[in-house]
Amino acid sequence: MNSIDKYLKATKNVLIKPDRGDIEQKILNRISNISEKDKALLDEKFLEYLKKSNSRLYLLAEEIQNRPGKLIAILIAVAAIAGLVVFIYRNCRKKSQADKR
Amino acid sequence: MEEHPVKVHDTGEENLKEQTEKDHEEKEGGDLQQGGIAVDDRPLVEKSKKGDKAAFEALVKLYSKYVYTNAFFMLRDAHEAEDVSQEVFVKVYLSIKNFRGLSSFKTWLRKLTINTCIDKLRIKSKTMDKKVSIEAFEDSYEIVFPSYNHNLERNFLTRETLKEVLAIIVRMEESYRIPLILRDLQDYSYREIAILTNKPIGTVKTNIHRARKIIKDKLKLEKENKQA
Repeated sequence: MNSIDKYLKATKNVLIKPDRGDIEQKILNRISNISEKDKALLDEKFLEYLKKSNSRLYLLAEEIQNRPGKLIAILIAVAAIAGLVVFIYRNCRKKSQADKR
Repeated sequence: MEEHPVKVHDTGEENLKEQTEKDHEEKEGGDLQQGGIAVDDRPLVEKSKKGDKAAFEALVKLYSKYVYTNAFFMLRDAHEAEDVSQEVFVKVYLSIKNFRGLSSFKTWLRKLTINTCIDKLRIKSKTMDKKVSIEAFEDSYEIVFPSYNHNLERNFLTRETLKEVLAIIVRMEESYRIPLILRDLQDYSYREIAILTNKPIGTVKTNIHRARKIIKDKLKLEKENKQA
């Protein structure tokens, strides 16, 4: 990783100080006085986002589409484990058959 | 394009390495470091879902600056960042009872903030002259380093370089800045960025690569100027 990537990663922890007063208090005041107009913020787009973020299937599909490499790695690992189990099972079976003879 | 890593402020490198390693260790399960103590937000979210206003206020205190920072980098406007922060928390307040918690609360909040900012930018691009907002923006912000970032707190050079990097990012053209922020600061995939910005994946990748190159070149130039 070069130095720029390191700096970009470190910027994630940086915060901006709001220059126009206490943002917390402004938010708390706003949610203390919720009006009908505020309820309109829950528009179709937001409800769709809420629905998607509450859908396990959607999140899984997104994860697969966003990181196809991860899915391939999982499939390879599963195939490798399955292959190993079959190999061990066959060996055990052969051994038991030989013992019987 | 060939990559030429720029070595910036050698003394800060080691500390920055430690810092980035710490980032990897940060839990995705909704923990936020505050004042050196790991805070688990899940009990607060659960209480807020049951209508506990004090718990929701605690969530606001925990995440208000985080939401504001994300909105500020996206919009480059203190007024709008404040509006978006308020809007996001109103949406969360009104709908938290429906939040199932399949992702962490912080991730949910972050994506909601980004979506709201993207909507604002779309409206803005139709109605405003972009040059005006860049000129109005000039250094009207103050960067703070959270107290748990001891390495950053101690190391002046690293801190100064980070400030320079952020200053370069916020001054960038929107077509470079937004994909770069979404990719490198918000961990979105190229596909997600392409969907959000309505651009082909190839264009998104090219713009991010160019944006990184702009940062490298400007830091290199800055270093040369300081040495001269």
